[in-house]
Amino acid sequence: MKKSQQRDQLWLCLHLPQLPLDQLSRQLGARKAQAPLAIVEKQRLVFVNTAAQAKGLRIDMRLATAYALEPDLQVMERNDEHEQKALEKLTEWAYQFTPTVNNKPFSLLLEVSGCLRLFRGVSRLRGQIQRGLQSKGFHCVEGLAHTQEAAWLFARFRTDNPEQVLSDSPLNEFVAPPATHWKTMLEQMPIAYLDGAEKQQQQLINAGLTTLKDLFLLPSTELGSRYGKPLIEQLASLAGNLYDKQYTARPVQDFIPSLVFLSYREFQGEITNSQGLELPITELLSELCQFLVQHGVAASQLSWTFYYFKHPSDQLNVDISSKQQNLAGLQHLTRLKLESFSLSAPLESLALKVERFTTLDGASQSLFPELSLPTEQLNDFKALLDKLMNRLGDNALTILDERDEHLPELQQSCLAVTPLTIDRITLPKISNIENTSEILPLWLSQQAIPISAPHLPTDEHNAPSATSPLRVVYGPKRIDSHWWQHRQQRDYFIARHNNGSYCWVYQNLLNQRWYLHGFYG
Amino acid sequence: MLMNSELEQLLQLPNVWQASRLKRRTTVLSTGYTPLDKALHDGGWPDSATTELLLPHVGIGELRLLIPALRKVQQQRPWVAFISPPYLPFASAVRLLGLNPQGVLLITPRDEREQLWSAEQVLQSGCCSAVINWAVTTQLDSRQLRRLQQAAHRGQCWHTLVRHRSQAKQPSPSALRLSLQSEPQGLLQLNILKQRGGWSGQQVKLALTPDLTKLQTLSTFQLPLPLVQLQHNTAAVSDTSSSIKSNNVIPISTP
Repeated sequence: MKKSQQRDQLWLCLHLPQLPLDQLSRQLGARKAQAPLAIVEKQRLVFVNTAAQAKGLRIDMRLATAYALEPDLQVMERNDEHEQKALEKLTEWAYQFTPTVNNKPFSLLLEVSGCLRLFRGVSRLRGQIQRGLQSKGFHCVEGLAHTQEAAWLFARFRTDNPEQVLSDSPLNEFVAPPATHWKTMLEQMPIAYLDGAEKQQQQLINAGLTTLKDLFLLPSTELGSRYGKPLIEQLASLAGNLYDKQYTARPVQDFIPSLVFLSYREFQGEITNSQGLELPITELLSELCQFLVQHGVAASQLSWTFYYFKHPSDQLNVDISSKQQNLAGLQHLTRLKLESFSLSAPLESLALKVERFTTLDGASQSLFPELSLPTEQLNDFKALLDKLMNRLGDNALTILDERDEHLPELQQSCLAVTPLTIDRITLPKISNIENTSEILPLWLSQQAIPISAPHLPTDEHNAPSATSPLRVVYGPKRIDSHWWQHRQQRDYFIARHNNGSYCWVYQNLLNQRWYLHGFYG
Repeated sequence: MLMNSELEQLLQLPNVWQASRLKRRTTVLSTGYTPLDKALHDGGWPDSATTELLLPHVGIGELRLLIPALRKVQQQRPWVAFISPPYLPFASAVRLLGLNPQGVLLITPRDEREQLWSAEQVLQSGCCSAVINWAVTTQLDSRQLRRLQQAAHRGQCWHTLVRHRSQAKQPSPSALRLSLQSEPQGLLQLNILKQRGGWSGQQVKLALTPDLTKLQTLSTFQLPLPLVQLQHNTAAVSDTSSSIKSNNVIPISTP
């Protein structure tokens, strides 16, 4: 692609210098976050909040010293994995503004040239993003440039030098400025802000180079042979199309949001009953709802995991077959499921994970639409099933599944209704009542109940006797089946119970015993 | 004459309730049995309301009584819910009677509270064309009955509540109450205990379950039965018979 055709990019970097601290304060809640807090790595403080700073705590101080200064200090061990996860979540959050997002250590990067008009100018967009991050409790410093690397560099520079004014606002609110707009600013950046080993930076400084301008003026091949290819690549990705040099920037991979939602809350064991779960659950679900709206999908299963201090964790799955994106619906289903659940121990943390999604628009159409329900009606029905299933348990809902068998008890089985099976059920219309002389009972006992021999019609008095209240009124109909495995030879009769009900009984001809198998309800 | 004019004046007052002025409901479901339709003021099962069937024990033809109407409503909305049924419906028999067994949703709640809750949910969702709720062993108070009745009204759902005969004396907000009693020769005696829109007390006899006119002739056939009396099953007999008499519901065991 020719350079003239290439659109000027505009990258907004949101540097989060206090990411671990912000995360900790978020977990503790606004009130507790006012107390002195610190993040510790290898027994040294790496992050301290303002309250701790006021007590005289400084970064790189030993933990023992810190405790001596402030006995009430709350500390947390630094966790790289948690930081990365938090950053990824924020990157997914940023995905709502622009499709090109990325992250770097402690930073979010958004390519905003394409969405300036949508958000009515770059300052409004910046304001909106700032407010969004603030409401989540994150402190950020911005940087704006034509490349990711440059924006990131500006943001870090501004973090360290808040008093120095960087005029990075573009002249036109709606159009990304050409690369030359950033040239002077980029060139005065100190070498220390390059992303590389300290040793190399020291080497460059020892060579008398102080700013990026000094580096850009040198021939790139010479620089490359002396200081290695990574430096050249870094310079290239910093400069973009600013210099017509033979820099070849490494292709940058855009962040692709994964379709797994995972979020959690930590409680330090303060929650001991399910009532206390209401608030964190609502928070997690509203996060999920935002995720669902951004991706244009609906969740088909919420999986809640309850982690305890000294107890194996519990998992609770909420199945959802209706396509729901709204908070109230998800909340309601979760609450129903929680009614039959109690915490096994004080809760350490609660995680919500969603891995299964369904698309909203691409609803699959049945091949024979006349045989299935209208989609709207089906969705209502699914919503009902969700409610019932989450409160009553998985086995409470069944439908009958018919099979082509001879023995009545094998002719049907109970099929548990799940969101998946309900889609497969089509309801063929039965046109007419089949005209048959067969009279079958409406109720079937799952297992035949052994009984004593009923009165047979040969009995002259027809009176109910003491031994059996049943009197045969019709029969027999013989079923002879399963000769290939466990032979079943039965004579079926209709018998009248002396309380007025009619029963379906049979005599097993192989052992001569009588069984009650159904009722004419 | 003076008396009459006073009566006239009294009747003119707006706060004097007269059963005959009550608006006739527009939507009813034909029961499929002409004598019963005639006995009911509205000419059928009250749609969007609760019908109570009061029985001495389950299995005397109460399901068969509902089948013709169920068949009709299933053509509009294919789902029919059975809440805590006493046994499993026999799919082949259901199909023979023209009802689609796959459209029957069986709900087996664990306790009374869940049963009422699920009945209310299903009724007011309006997804099912009919809800049959077996509450033979449960005692429902009038507040619970009213809630069910209101849920049926909201969801425009035909609700049938199967209850024990002993609950007949309890006042109930249900739109229609029938007491069922099986008679010899397979007849089912229906007493209308209460119906909306007028007086009650009608009695109807219906030939139900199974078609005995056919059966009686068949039963005279000589049966090729080896008449063996069994001794060791007597214990089982008393069990079965007592379970039927005492209206205990044999729970459905789902695989």
